[in-house]
Amino acid sequence: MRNELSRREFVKASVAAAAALSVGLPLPAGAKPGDREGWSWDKGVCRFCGVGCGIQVATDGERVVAVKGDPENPVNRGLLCVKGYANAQIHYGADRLEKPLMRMKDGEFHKKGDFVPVSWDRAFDEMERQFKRFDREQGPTAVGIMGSGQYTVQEGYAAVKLTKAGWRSNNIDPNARHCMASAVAGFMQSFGIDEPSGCYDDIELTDTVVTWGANMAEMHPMLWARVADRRLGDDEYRVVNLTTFRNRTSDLADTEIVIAPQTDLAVWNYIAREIVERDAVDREFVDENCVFATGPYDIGYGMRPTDEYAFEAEEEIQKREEVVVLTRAEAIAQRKDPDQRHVVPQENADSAGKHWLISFEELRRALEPYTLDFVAELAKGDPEEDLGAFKEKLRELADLYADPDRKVVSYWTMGFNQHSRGTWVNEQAYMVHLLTGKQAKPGNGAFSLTGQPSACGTAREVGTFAHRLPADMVVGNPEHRKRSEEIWKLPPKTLNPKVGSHITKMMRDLEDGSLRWLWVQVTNPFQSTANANHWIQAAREMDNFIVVADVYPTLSSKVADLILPAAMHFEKWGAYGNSERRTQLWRQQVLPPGEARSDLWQVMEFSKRFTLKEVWGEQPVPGLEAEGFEAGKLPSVLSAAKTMGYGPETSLYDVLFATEANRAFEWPDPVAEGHANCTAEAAGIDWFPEKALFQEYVRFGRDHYHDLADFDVYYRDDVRGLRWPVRNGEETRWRFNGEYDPYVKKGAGFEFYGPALKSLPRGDLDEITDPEKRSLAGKAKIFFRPYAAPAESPGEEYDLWLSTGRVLEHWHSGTMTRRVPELHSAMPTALLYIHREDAKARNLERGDLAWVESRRGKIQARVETEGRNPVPRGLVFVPWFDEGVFINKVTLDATCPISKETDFKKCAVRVRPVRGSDESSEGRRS
Amino acid sequence: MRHYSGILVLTEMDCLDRCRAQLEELPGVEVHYCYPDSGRIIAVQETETVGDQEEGLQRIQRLPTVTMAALVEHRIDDEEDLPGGK
Amino acid sequence: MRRLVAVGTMVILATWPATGAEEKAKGEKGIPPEGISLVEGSVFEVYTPPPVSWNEAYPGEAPLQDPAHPEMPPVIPHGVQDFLPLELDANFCVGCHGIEEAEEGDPTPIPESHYVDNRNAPEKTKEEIVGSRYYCLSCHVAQSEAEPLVENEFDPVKAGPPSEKASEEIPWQLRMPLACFGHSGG
Repeated sequence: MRNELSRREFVKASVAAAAALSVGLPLPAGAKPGDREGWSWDKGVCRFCGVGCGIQVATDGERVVAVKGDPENPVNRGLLCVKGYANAQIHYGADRLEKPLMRMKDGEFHKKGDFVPVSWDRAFDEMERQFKRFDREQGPTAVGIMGSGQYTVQEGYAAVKLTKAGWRSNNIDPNARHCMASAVAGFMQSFGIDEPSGCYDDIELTDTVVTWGANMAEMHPMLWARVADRRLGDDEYRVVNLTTFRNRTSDLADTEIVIAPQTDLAVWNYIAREIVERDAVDREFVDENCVFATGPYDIGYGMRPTDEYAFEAEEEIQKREEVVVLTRAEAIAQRKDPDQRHVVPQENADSAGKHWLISFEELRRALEPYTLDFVAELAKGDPEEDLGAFKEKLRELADLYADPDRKVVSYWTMGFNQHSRGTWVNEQAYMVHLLTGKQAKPGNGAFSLTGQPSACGTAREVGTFAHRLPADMVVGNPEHRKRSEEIWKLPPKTLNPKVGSHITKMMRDLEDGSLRWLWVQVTNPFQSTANANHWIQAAREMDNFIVVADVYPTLSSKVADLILPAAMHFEKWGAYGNSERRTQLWRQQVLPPGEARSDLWQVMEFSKRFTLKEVWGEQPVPGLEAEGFEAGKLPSVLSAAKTMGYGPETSLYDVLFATEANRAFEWPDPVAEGHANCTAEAAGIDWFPEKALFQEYVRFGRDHYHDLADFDVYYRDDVRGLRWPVRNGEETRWRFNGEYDPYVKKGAGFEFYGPALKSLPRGDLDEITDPEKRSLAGKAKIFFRPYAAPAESPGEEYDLWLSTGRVLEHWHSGTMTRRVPELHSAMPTALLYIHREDAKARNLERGDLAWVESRRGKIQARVETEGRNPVPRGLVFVPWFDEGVFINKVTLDATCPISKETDFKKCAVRVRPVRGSDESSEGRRS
Repeated sequence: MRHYSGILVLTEMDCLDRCRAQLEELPGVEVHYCYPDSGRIIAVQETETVGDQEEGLQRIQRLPTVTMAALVEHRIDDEEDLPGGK
Repeated sequence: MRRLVAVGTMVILATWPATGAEEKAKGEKGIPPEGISLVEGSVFEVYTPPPVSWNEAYPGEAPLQDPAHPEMPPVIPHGVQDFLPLELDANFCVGCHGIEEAEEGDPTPIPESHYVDNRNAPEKTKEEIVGSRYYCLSCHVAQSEAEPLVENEFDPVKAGPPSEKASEEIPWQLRMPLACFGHSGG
C-alpha cells in the first residue's frame, strides 16, 4: 500500500545514511533520515525482554518504518541490542494472521478438520457454544486462560477481570509462571511483597556484580552493556559469572565459576557459613530488620502425585514425588548420617510453602555442614577443572560478599527461577545479602531479572496468576477478595476463593479431562511447556476446545481448534512494567492488518456473550473449602447483584468493562495526539478502554505500596516510565530504605513493610515447637534452605545433563524473531551444544545430526562443539526457540513445589547419531 | 529505473549554509546531513541515467562554494521490482 | 528481487480473500494444520533440522549487506569464530575496526557515535570506544547462509539492490579522521 513517493523518499534517506556511514560520518541526532519525508517519531518500549529498553519508533502514517534506542531513556540511553532494532520488522512477517481460522469439515466446526477462515462472529459463536457446553457440564473450573508476561497491563487486567470476576474461575495463569514464579515466591516469603528493592542504578553504584544462572550478555544485553561500561572503566570493579556452562557472560567476567546443576543451593550456604564464621554479619542491620526462618525439606518435585498418566519410562522418576532416597550429599547437607540409607516420604508436597521462625544459633547449626571441602567437591561442574583451583574461586566469591567495604549486586534469571528448588535458591540470595546488610541500599542488593517485557508490570502486578488478584492480593484471602469485589463493584462472594490451576497444571488438567476449554493469549504454551508430548496429545485427541490468539501461526496454533488474529505491539495502545518496577506506556502507531484485533478488544467483545444468569448462579467448584462457603460450590450472587442494579440479563461486558465510570473516559482523547485506537474503533465505542481500565487498575495499588501515576503522566515528553511506588509524583528507586521509600516510617531507617506471611510460629530446624503465631511486621526473613538433589539426574541409561535456554538472537519461542531475516540468519536453528569429547565418544562431529532423547521424548538437533557455549563434559545445552527442534518434548515437568515453576535446566538425556535408516523407521513419529 | 547517488561534499565551514542552498537548487539534489564542525555535507542526487548522474556530480563540483565532492553510494532502483501493495 | 520466494502455504494464509463468505461454502478446502507455522509437518513428528552453513568469509572477502533500516547496526559480513571471545583485554573487533580513517579495502570504521558516552558524558567524544559499546556482539551478529523461513515485508528504507561502494573515488581530503569531529549535531 506504500505509495511510490514515499518509497523514493525511503530510498534517498537510505542512500544518504549509507553514504554518511561509509565515510565514518555519524548520523546527527537531530537530522534523522526521514524527518523531512513525513515520518513521525514517538517514544515506545521494546517488545522483547524484561530490561524494558526505551525505543523511538518511526512511522510513515501507515507502517512502522524504523526504530532506534531512545537516548532519553535511562534504561538504555539510546542503545539497543540486535533484537531491539528488529522491533519494526517483527510486525511484517508475510504470514501475519489476518482472519480467524477454525478447524472445519463440511461447513461445521470439526476437531479433526482443516483450518478455514471464518468471520469474527462465527469464531465467537463457536467459542461461546463450546464454553457453555463445558461450563454447564463441569462448572467454571473446566474453562481457563493461559496468559502472558507479554500482555499489556490493560490486556492482562481485562483477562483477569473476565476470568475471576466474570466467569468465577481462577484458571488464568501466565507463561510468566515458567519464568519468574520462583522469584515471586522468594520475594513474598522473604519480604512479604513482590518485586526487587533496588533498581538498575545499582549497576553504576556497585563495585561487584555476581551473575547466578544469568547469561546477561545474551539475555539482557543492554544491562550487560552497563555492567561492561563500569567494569572497563574501573579496575576495582569485579564481575563473577556463576553458571553450569561457559557462556558469553564469562567473556567480560573476572571470574567464571562452573558449577554442577542444582549445587547453587550448596554454594550459597557455603558463602553464608563463611560470613557467619568470619563474623562478617552486619549485626546492627540484622538485629533491627531481620528474623530467621526455615521450612520442611520433604516437599517433592511438583510432579503429578500419581503415575496414572505417566509413560512407562517416566514412572521411575514420577515415584520421587512420593518417596525420595537421600543421596550421600543430601544426607550431609541435611545433617543426617551419610552412611545410613534415608528413605523420606515427601509428606509436605502439598504444604511446601509453610515455614516458621528459628534462632540465629539454629541457622549457624544448619550451615555447619557446608564446608569448603564438602561444597567444592559437590559443586565443581567441570570435570577438567582442578579442585584446588575451584576451591580458590569459591573462597574468593565468599570474600567479595563478606567484605564490608564492597558493594555487591547479585543478578539471576532462569538458572535460579527454573529450578526444582527455585524459591529456596532465591531466598538464599536474600539470606546472604541480608546477613551482610547488602540489601535495599544503593549499589547493594539481590536482584531478579525478568525474561518477559511485562512479567512484572502485568503478570505480577496485575496478578494474572491462578492465585492472585491485583497489587499482590490473593484469592485465598477473604479481605483481599472483599477489597477486589468493592473496586470491581461485584456482589460479595462472587470471587472464587479456591486457587486455580497453574499453567503446567492446566496442561495436566487437559490430559485428565478436568479442563475442557482453553483460550491462549499472547503466548505459545504448547512449545514452552515441558514434557510436551503429553499436552499436544491431550489437546488433539480429547474432547476439548482450544483457542489460540496470536499475531503469527505458531506451534500452539497448530494444536488449536480456533486461531484468532491478534494485533501486534505498535498496532495497539499498551503499557509494560520492567524488572526495576518501571512502568512505560506507548501509543498505538499503526493499524493492525486485515481483521486482526487487539487482545483487549477480543476479551471485551467475547464478554458480551455472557449474561449474569449464566455465570453468577450457583456453580460447582470441586474441592472448594473456605470460610463462609458451602463445600464444593460457589453460591448464587444473582439476588445480591439485583440490589446493585444488575439484572439476570445484564451482560458481563456491561458489568466489567463498559461501566459508567469507564465510559466517562472519552475517545478521542488529547493524549492520543492524533494516534488511532484499534480497540475503540473495532468496538465502535466513544470511550477509551486502555485508559479507563488503567485508571481503574491503579486504584488497587494506591496506598497499598504499588502506586502508579495517572495514565496521561506516562505520555508526557519528559517521562520515560516511572518506578513504582510513585508518590507525590516521585518515583522510588530503593524500596524499604527510609532515605528513598515514602512508605518507610519516618526515622525507621529500613522497614520491610511487605504485609504478606508476616505472622509465624516458632520452631527448630526440623519442626514447629511453639505454634503460637507472632507478628514480624517490618522485618525481612533470612531463610535457611538446604541442598536437595534434582528431580532427575544422569545415570547409566540417560547419561547427560540437559539444560535449555535462550540465545541472543531469538526471543521466547522465536515466533517474532525467526521472521526477521538478519536474526534468523544469525541463528537459524537450535543447536545441540556438546563437549567435543562427549561428541566423539558418541561418534558425532560438529554439524552431525543427533538424537536427543529422554524418558519422555526425543528430538533431532545438529551437533555444535564450538561456538558460544563451550559446555563442560557431561552436560548438553539445547535452546528452545526452535519450533522444529522441539526440545520441550524431552524436558521434565518437575516444578519448584512452592512456586510451581518448571525446572527447564535439568533433566537426564542420552545423545546418539541419527542414522540413515532412522529417517523412515522412527523419524516421523515420537 | 532510477539512479540514486549519495554524495559527500566538502566546503568551507563558514559558507556551509550558502553551499547547502546552492546544492538544493540543483535538479534532483537534496541535502540530507550537514556537519558544521567539519564543513561536510551529505547530499542525495536522483537521476534517470548514469550519464545524468555523472553530469550532476560535475555540476556540484563546479559550484563556487564546493571544495570537493565525491560519489560515495550509488543505487539503482528498478521500479518493476517494487512491491505493489496487496 | 527483494521479495523472497515464500514457502508454500505462507502465501495462502497471507493472501486469503478478506471476505467472510467462504465458510458457508460446504466442502471448502481448508489448510491442514501441518501447513501453518514455520515448520511443516505434524507436531507429533520429529523434524530434521537442516545443516547450518555459517558465513566463514575472511574479513574483506564478502560484500557488506544493507541494513534493514538506517538505524539498524550492520550485520557482520565475515566469519567471527577466529576472533572470539571478546575479552576485557582483547577485542579483535575494535582492533581492526577501530581505525581513524578508512582507505580502500580497510575495515568499516567504527562510527563516531560509538565514542560518545550517552550515559555519563554525552557532550564529548572519547578517544576509545565507550564501555557500553565494547561488547560488539550484542548488536552486530554474524550470518549464515540460511534462507528466511518466511518473507518479511518490512521494506521502507532498504533501498533496492546492494549499493555500489565508490570509496576508491573519494579523495583523501574528504576522508574523515574520526577523532576530528566534535559532537556534530544536526
